[in-house]
Amino acid sequence: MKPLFLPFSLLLSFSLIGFSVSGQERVHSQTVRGGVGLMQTPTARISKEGEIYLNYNDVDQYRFWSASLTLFPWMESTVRYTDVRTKLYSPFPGFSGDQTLKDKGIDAKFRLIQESYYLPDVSLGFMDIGGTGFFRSEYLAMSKALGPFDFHLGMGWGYLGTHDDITNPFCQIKDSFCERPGGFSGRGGKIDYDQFFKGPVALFGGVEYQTPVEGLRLKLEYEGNNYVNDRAGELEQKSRWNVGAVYKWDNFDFSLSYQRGNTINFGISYHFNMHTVRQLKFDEPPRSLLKSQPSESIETLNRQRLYQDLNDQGHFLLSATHQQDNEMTFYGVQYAYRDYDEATERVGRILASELPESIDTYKIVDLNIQTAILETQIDAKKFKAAAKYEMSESEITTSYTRQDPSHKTLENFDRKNISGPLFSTEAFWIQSFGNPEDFYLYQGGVTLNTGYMFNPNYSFRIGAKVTVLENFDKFNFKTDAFPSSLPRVRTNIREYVTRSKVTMESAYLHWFDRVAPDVYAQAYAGYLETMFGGVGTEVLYRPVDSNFAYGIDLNYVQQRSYENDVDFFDYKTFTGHASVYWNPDFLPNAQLSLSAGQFLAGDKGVNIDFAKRFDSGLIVGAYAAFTNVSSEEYGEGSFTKGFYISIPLDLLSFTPSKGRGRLPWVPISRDGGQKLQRPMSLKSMTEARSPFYD
Amino acid sequence: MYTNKFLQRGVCALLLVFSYQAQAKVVVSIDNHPLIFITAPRVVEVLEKTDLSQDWYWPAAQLFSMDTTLTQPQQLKVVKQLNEIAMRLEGADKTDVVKFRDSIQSWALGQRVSLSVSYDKARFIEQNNPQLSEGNYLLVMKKRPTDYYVTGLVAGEEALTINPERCLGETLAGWRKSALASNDLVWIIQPDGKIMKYGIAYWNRDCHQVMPGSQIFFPFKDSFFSKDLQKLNRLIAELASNRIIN
Repeated sequence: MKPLFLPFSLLLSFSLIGFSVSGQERVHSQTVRGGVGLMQTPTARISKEGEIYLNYNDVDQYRFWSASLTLFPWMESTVRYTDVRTKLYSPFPGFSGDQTLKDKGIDAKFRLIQESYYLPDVSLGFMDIGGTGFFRSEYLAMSKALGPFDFHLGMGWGYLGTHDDITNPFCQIKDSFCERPGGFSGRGGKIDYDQFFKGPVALFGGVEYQTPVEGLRLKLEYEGNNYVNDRAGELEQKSRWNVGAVYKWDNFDFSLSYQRGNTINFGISYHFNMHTVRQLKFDEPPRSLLKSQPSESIETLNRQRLYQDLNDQGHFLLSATHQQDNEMTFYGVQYAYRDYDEATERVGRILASELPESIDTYKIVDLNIQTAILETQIDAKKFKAAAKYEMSESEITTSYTRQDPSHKTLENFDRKNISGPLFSTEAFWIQSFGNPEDFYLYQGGVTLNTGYMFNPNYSFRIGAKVTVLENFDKFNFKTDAFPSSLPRVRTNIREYVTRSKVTMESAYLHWFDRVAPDVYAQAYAGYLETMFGGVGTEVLYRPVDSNFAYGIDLNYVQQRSYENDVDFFDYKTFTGHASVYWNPDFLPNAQLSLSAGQFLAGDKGVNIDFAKRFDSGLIVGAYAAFTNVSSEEYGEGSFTKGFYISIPLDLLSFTPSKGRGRLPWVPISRDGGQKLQRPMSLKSMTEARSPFYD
Repeated sequence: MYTNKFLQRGVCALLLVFSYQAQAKVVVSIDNHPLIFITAPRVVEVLEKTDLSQDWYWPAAQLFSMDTTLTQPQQLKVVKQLNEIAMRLEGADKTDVVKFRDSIQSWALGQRVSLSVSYDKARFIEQNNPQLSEGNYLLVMKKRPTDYYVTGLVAGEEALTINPERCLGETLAGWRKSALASNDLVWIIQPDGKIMKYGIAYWNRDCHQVMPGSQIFFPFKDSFFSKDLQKLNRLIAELASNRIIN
C-alpha cells in the first residue's frame, strides 16, 4: 500500500502562511537538462534575476544543450535541445541521413514562497511544456538551507514521477487525475494542460554541501524517474541515488556525477548576469565646464568648431540649427550613445561650453529620416550649475525635459534642401537548429542598402542580400512534403534563401511624416520583403514617455516568385493589424505587444509578444500567434511561436555605438500566424520617444 | 582667511558656516569650532583646512548639511509610528519599542550630503569636489573606526568592537534582541550612507566583512499581512544614514 499524500498536504499548508524577506545570495548550479537543481531533479531554488546559464551535459544516451534564464526573481525559464544518441532522427536516410534523434523543450519554474527563518523556498515547475514531451513533468519542490548544507525535497508528476511512490493527491479529488494521458495534442508544440498533475507521483530530493574548498560543492540526489519509458528506450537503473560534484571557476561550472548506479555524467556551464554584463569602453569623458570659455555673443560663436565637436565628441550628426532670441535649436541624429541621459549630458556640455550666456535655452531635436521624433529642452542655467557641480548635490537630469516637438520647433526646421543618395550596410545571420540534414544550418552575409532621398518625406530604397557563408547546400528538400491546407506563404523559405548568392530583398518607394502631435505615419510600395511585395500604410500614436502606444497597419500584397527577383506568383491577400504596445508599471522593464488582425495566409487572430529588458540593454522576448487555424490545419508545431534575444552592439564594441542585433530562435514555423515583414516599422523609427529598445 | 590645522584627536568635526554678508573671522578648533567662508567653497578648499597629515579613514568621512527640514519630520514620523506600535503591545515587547523610540528621539541628525568625501577624490574627480551651497555644515572625519554601532530592537544601543577573527553574523546571531526583532537579518548602514541587508540566521549567514563604523540595525520582523513594518524598517534605516555619530 502506498503512503498517503501527507508530504503534499504539508507543502500545501506552507503556501498559505506567508513569506519573509530574503537573506544573502546562495550560489546555485544547474541540472543536466538545465535549470537550477541537483543532477536529474530540480530544486526550489532560483538564481538571481538576470542570471543566464549556457549548459552542455553528456549523460550516456543523452546529450543536452540548454540555456536557462532567471527572468524575474520568482521565475526561471529554460530552453533545451536534446540529442538522443541511441535513436535516429527518422527511418529515412534520404531525409535525415544518420543524424540521431533531436528534440527541443521549454521549462518554467515559479517561486511561490521565499525562504525565511521558519519557511523553505517553495517552487512550482513545469518541464518540457509544449513540444513532444520527452521529459514532460510537473513538480512542487522545497529547499531549506542550514549553514553549508542545502536540503531539497519535491514531488513530481510525469517523467519525474514514474517511480509512483505515493498516491496522486488530485486522484483523491477527481478520477481523471489518476491516469496520465500519453502522447501530445495537435501536431506537437502545444501546452498539453490536460496532462498536468495526472498519473503517478514520486518523491525526489537531496542535499548540496558547500565544502571548505572554495568553488567545490558536492551533491547527493534521490530521483523520481524509473527510466522504464525513456525516449532512449528502457534504461537500467541500479539505484535511485545519484552523487556528484560541481566546481565553480570564474564564470564556469564543471560538473561530474555518477547516476543510476551505472552512468557517468559530465557537464559544463557558462553563466553571466544580463543586468551587469558590461563592455570596456575607450572614450573621452564628458567635457568639463570648469574652465570653459563660452563665446561672448552669438555673433562671435565659432560655429564650425561647435558643429565639428558635436559630431566628433557628442556623436551628434547635425542637420540644421535655428537661433531666435535666447533660444537655440539643434536638429540631428545621435549615432553613438544609446543611453539618453549620457547622450544629452555630453551634447549639453559641448553646447554649454561654446554658446554665449545670452542663450538660456538649448533644444536638441532627434530626427529619423529628417523628421522630428523627440525634443529635449535644456534650461542652460540649471544645466551649467549642475555640470559645474555648483551645488553640494547636483542632479543634471533635472535641468532638461523630454517632450513632443513643438509647433515652433517644426516650423523652424528648414528641411527643404535635404535630399541625396542613401547608403548603409548590415550584417545578417540566419540559423536553424534541429534540421533533418544537419543539426545546425546557417547562412550569413551582408545586406547592402542604398537609395535616394527626394525630400525629407519621400525616398526610394533598395536592399540587396549578399550571402558570404552558408551550409544551406546540405538541404535535401526545398519544400516539405506535409500537406498544407493554408497557402504556402512561408514554407517555401528554403527556395528563397538558396536561389542565389545575391538577391534583391527589397525595392520600394517610401513616405514618412509626423502627421499630428504624437502621431506618425508611413506608406510604402514595391518589393517589401523576401517573399512579398505590394502596398501598405501604417499610423502610430505614441506620446512621449507614455506606457502605451497604439498603431494600425494595412497592406495589400502579392507573393513574390522564388525563381527570380522581379516576378510574382498568383497569391494575393490583404494583411494588417491593430496593435497595442504596453509597458506595465507592475512589471518594470517589460513590454507587451498585442497585434490583432489578418495574417498572410488569410487567417485571423492575435500575435502576442512579451519582452524583458535587462540593465545592460540585453532584451529577451517571446511571441506566439493564435489564429482561427486549427493545429491540424497548421501542421507540425500547432501554432507560430518564437523567442529572440536582442543584443545592443554597444556590448560588443570598445567604442560607444547604437544599433542592435537580433538572434531569433523559432522552434517550428509554418504558414499560420505569419506577419508581413514590413520594410520599416514606425515603432522602431520612433523609439526615442519612450525608449525600450534604446 | 586665517587657517589652522587640527592636531591630536582622532576625530575631527568642523562646523562650517558661511554667509555672504559677514566679515571673515575664523576660529578653528576641535568640535563645534566654525570655519567661516565668505564665498561658497569647494570641498577641496575645506579639506585643505584640516590636518591632512593624519591618517583619516576616508570611507567613514561624512558631510552633513545642518538643514533638518527633511530629516526632522522623518524623525517625528518614525517616533509617532513607534508610539502607535507600543500602544498595541504589553510587557517586555512594549518596553523594547519604547526604549528604541527614546533612542531615536535622541539621535543627532543632519542631512547627509551624498558625496564620497576624500581629499584625493576631491582633487582629481570633479563630481567629488562640488561647491557647497549657502548654509551650515558639519564635516566628520575619523581615523579607522574600531566599533560598529548597534541599534534597533535590542536591549540598548551600544558599540560592538570589531573582531576580524570572528564572523559578524555569528556574533549578531547571539545578540540579545527583542522578540519583535527579525531572526533572519540586520540592516547595515555604512558610514558612506549605503544601506544593505545582512543575513544572521542559520540559513543565510555569511562571513563577509562589514565597513568599520557602520550602524547595525535590528529591524522589526516582517509581516505577511501588512507591508507597514517593512516600510518602517526602511524609513528607520534611511534616518540612520542621516545620523551624526561623533
